[in-house]
Amino acid sequence: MDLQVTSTNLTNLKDLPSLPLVLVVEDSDEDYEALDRAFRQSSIKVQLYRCQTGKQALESLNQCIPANQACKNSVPVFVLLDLNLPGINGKFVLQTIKQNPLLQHLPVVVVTTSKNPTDVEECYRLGANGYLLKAIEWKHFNESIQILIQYWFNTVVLP
Amino acid sequence: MLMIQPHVEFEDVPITSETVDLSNCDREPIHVPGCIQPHGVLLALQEPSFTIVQVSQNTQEWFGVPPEELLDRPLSYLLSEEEIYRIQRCLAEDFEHVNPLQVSVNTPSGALAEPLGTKFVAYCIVHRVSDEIVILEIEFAQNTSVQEDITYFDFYRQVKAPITQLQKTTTLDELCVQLVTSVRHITGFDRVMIYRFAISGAGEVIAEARHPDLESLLGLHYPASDIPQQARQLYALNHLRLVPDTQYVPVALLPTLNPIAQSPLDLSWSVLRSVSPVHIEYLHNMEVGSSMSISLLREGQLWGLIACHHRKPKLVPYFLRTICEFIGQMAAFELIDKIDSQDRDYKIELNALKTEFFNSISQQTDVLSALTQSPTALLNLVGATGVAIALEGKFVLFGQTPSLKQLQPLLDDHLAPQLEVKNIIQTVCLAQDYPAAAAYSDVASGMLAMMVSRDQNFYILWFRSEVNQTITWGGNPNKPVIVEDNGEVRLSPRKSFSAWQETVRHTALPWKTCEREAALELQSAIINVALRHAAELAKLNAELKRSNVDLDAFAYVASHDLKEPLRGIHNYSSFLMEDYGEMLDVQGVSKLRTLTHLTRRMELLIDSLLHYSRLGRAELASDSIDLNRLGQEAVELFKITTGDALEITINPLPTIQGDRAQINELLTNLVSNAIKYNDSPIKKIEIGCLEPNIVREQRLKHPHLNLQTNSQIIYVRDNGIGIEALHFDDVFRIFSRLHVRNAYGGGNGAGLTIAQKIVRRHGGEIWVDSSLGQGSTFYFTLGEKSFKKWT
Repeated sequence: MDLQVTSTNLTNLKDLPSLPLVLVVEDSDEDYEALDRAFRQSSIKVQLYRCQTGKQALESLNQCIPANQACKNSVPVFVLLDLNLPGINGKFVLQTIKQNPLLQHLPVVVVTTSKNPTDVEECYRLGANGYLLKAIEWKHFNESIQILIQYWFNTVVLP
Repeated sequence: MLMIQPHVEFEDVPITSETVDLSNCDREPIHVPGCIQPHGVLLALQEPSFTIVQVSQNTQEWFGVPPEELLDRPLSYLLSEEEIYRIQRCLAEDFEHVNPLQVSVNTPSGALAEPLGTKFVAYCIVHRVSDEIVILEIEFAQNTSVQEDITYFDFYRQVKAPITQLQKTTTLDELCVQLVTSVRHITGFDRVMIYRFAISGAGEVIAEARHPDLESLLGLHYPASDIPQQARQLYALNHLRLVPDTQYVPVALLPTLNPIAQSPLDLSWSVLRSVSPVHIEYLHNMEVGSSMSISLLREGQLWGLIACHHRKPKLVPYFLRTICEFIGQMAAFELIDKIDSQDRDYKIELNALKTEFFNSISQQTDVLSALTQSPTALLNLVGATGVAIALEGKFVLFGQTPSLKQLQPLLDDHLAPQLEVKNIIQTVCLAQDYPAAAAYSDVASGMLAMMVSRDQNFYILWFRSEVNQTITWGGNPNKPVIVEDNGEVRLSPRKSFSAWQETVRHTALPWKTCEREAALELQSAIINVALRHAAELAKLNAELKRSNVDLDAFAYVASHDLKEPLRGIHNYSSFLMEDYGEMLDVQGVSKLRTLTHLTRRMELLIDSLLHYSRLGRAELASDSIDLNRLGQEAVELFKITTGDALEITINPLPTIQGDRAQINELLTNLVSNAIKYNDSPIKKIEIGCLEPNIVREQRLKHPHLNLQTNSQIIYVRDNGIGIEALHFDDVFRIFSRLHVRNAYGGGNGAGLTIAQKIVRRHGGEIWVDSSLGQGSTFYFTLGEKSFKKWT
């Protein structure tokens, strides 16, 4: 298992401390750093858990399911999913999550470079709960992430 | 004078024309005149008893018996049993007994005519009219020493020399001259002519032998009405026709109606048949005392006549007539051979040319270059003086042809619609069908036109230059028609036969059947080549499609992958500014800003590339789009951003079929372009649809564009900075810019490329007309499908 966790030294999802968890599926280190930077600038403290491939993401999620009832904190609040991933792509990850009865309640927000309307449409059809563009402008991106955090942690009621 | 009711039709006479002046002559029932010429006696007999049922009313004069006396009597009343037996054998087509049969006529007062040595020799000519009716005609010849029992050897002696001379001739002209000379020599007529019929029925004297006192008629033309349709028909049936005395008084038959047929006796095959009064008057006007005609047939069709005229009455004995008829038949065979060999030589030449030409075409991949490689062959193929090849809106011209400006309307307005239903159009007088062609009849009086491919707008037009022909008619060909007070129409054959010249203009030499066939063969040769290439093309197309898909996919992936490091550069520059901004001096900060600015610009470029590649891959929707509304919406948007300095006029636009999002982007890009590259204090933009006459102008101006006459051309015109002609193509190239980066709002240089891609995906064309400082006009069409539902 090759999980990489930033901010902590823990290697297993279910062993993470009690901060709310957000699963980030992102292969690019630079993009991840930008995301991490944005999250750290938020007043809401969150634990990010990063997977670099779709395969890793699905394995991690399957692992934490049995603990679902026992340790609620080890289940991510939502997933940030890049579409352009090495190996299995983001759409497949999205589809798998949304077709699994144990996972389909999990909010998945797509974060991608693609403005292509067919991509946007397809993701929502597969069950995405949001579609965020990776704006080149750091300022804009940061703002989007702040809104995202506010929305999922302070605005909506989660399952 | 014959009185003819207008519009009387006779069942068995074909009517060739509905116009009153010609058709009345055509309608005259000349095969049932009810009369004969007086130089013989006609008896109609009922078979098998050979009872006399009808008789000409001149028997008193010839036999000394009144006609009433002969009716209902058996033939044996006049002829011996032996003579009747010979007549029966002749009717049974026994080779030993052929017309004429020499007879002696017995009457109650004794033998009137005795064979040999007496005053008259009687010749009996017999033929069957129907199952029951036989016509027997008896001619009386002055008994001279010539009149002997004619043997085969006499006949052979008489015909051998003229036939041999005919066969010695090499050309058609020589043959005709020899023929008239021989016939005149044999018969002693004052004038013997060859009269050749044209397809129209008009005729021309092509050879003549005449008495030195007579004026020549050689080269004169006679209108078709001079020898009307049903007369020509009888000439085709009856190969020899004799009028010994044009001043004769016709002899009626008794009774008028044939008692068996209950109708006038059909005299089609009769040698004594009376001549049409109109024709007699015609002969009188021509000062002809007697005439004889021998038909010249080619493949059963009347090709011409040997026409013999004499100033005085002249009776040619049956024997000499038979010789003339035989010579006529032999001459006809020779004629056919001469005409055919003329054609044959040409056809052989043409075939050799075809083989070579078609071979060279089939070896070429590009038909146009194959055709244009040997323009001489293309011209010679059909014997043309000029040729125009129209292919995809362009013309290639060789030889003498109308100008491009003249050809375009000729093709669009006159030929293209007809060639939708006709395989080939041929004419020798283009100006007659298409009056505008009179302006260029010197080069294009004759035309042979065909369509090779509709999809490619591929036509071949051959031209023949005008032959300024002067036709010398034997008198004014417009036969006068007199309408009487009671409404009856009277025909009066013209009295004057002095030459009447008519210049025939705008006319070329006729196209031969073999030339027309060669054109059609070329058509199928090209189509064959095209079919073969179509298969190869389909393969290439599939490959091209695949490589296009690959290219689009490449652009898409490349753009995405390019963007990732770009975002990284931008982000890290931003992080640097955030985290270490205070540690940098002004120059350092400025450099970092430039760095982020450049990444922004790079992203714009990549986005454009992405968008462009997506345009190529996206499925085209087929929406019905009212361009007036779409234009209005686009304009509103610009008015908000640009403000009062903008003046946009939208002239009525059509409703089209297309992808709404893309067409919107197309209009937006063009309008945005017009606003962006505009220095005028008030930016004026006009959107509209070109009038059809300007469409033609644009077609001529831009022949390389695939524009149709019915193309709907939309334009966006501005009063902007304009574009130099040498940059007309550059403006559509992606990322190509004509100005420094930050001038005119610093566009990314993809707007027009994207506009072009949209137009092309819709099957249309886009182009620009402009001059520096004068503003620009962008034009586009959207292909046939887009305008299908245009109302």
